[in-house]
Amino acid sequence: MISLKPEILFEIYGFKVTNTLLAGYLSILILAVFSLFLRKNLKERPTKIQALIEIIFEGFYNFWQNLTEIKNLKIFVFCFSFFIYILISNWLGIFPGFGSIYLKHHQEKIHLLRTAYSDLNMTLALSIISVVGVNVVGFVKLGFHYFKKYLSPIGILELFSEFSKIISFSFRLFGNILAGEVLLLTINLILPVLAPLPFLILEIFVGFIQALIFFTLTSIFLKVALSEH
Amino acid sequence: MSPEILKTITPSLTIVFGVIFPVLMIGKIGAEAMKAIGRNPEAASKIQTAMILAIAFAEAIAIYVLVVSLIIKFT
Repeated sequence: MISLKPEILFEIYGFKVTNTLLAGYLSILILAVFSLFLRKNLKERPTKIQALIEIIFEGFYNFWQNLTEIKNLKIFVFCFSFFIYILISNWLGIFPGFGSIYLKHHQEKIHLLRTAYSDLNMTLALSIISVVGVNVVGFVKLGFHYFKKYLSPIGILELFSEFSKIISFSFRLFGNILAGEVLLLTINLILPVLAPLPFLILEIFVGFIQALIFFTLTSIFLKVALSEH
Repeated sequence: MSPEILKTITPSLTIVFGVIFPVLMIGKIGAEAMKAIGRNPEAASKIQTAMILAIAFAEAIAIYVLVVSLIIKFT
């Protein structure tokens, strides 16, 4: 019922496909289809959907530029894709109909889809990409001079701090989303009629805030990495 | 005490004692941020951004406590 580990649906040549992986692929599919549709219909005078996406994109770009003083659009896209992927995955998890499909597996029912980031593997992968990506961007911009900051005695401590960032990123997102799932499951067992409503609103809010936190923390670490001491 | 009783009580005690300090600190962060906004209303959006960041760091510790208690309960 409530399990920390994601349920394995089937195996392909030894690679185990879990239900959180399917949910992650589903959100990628939604994002890809939407982006392709948007890109084909780009016009000089924007339609309503294009105007909405432009407002959101420019709003976040201005916010990001005030936060870190970097003017490069590609680095912004690196940070913004984390935000969009986490947001769509979290909001897809509370979408009606998402948790209703069951599979029968060795005489027990398991969900076909589960919120992507309630799985420690997914959040760990994302946090490793974020921390390693920040270091790679610093290396590309500054060359080998970038690693000089790790060579002093305080620098060794900063190297350990990078690893602790990986742990803290992954556990923050995992804990928040898993707690939300356990909460919704428990409320649906006790009182499924009207009581889940405030908890669903809380889940929408928490999903958005966690995506924003991931985006902001990655940007701040980027700003620290790109500033030359 | 038998292991079953311990396995039932320990997660609750973990949460009860582990969440006290993060909660106090989050309240303190919010209060100081409001004081700062009251002194300087022009910088309100910068202060708000920094406050949300600090609250996320403090909340992460409370989330670690929750994850530990869930692990104790379910394995």
